[in-house]
Amino acid sequence: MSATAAAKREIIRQFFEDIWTDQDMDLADEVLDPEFSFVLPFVTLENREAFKQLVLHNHVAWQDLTYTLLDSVADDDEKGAAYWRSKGTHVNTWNGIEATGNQMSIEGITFFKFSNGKLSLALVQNDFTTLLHQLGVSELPKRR
Amino acid sequence: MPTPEQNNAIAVEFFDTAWNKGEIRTDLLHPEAVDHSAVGGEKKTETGAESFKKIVTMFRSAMPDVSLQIHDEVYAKDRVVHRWEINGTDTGGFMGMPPTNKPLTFTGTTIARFKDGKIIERWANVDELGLMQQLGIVPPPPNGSNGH
Repeated sequence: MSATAAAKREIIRQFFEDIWTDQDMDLADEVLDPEFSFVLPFVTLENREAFKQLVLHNHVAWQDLTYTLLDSVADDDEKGAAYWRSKGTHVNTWNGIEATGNQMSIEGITFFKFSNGKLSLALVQNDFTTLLHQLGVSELPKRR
Repeated sequence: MPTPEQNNAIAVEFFDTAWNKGEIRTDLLHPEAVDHSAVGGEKKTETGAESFKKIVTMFRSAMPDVSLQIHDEVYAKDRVVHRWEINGTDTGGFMGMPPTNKPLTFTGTTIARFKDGKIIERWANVDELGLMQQLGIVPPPPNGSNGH
């Protein structure tokens, strides 16, 4: 039995505003499948516990880390998607990059799958190259 | 009013024709269409088909054998979202660089908003870092990377 589109969009909102931004781990246990998989182009977190660790870890690395939902879509079946913006200040080592004190503001689009009304998969694309720019990590070539 | 399924069929037609045939079906775009692109870390919002056409032309000249495959889609109301993969061989060269002749592959996700059965707004996010790494432009993410 799949959740309604409205119920799925509410879970997507909770995912960004309550779990990512407010670190509500009880809610994470409630709305994420134990086998929830969080997939970035270069790494996959295999389950809910690993994802919760990522959220907590990123809040140590980034002060005032927020995720704002800009747009969301869900169907009556098992799929959804979101367009979001994340902001924060780089105050501790992240991904091997020592604190820069720099602010980041990036956007991304995440494709979601649900299973029995819980989030089971997030396929994430984000402005990672923009983020590296904002941290001054790498000289990327200007196009044209 | 067109159904979400009909909107999706139009999105599939538009993106498939653009990437796999190099033809931008402006007849499937709303007269007030807006395109949000983020190529090379620069965010731009432009009206009309030109910015999307430039992106497609740039990739098709770098990779004349480019092909787009739509892996997954979700659609509801006036929105269509596609998760896709682009494959091709860098025989034409990117950004003025000599061709690497390497096979390249990268993923992206696109949101299209519809009005009156036409695409009126487009957003996309692309694994640009992955593409650059394959081209040898930026170092891979540090070890232990767990992303963001």
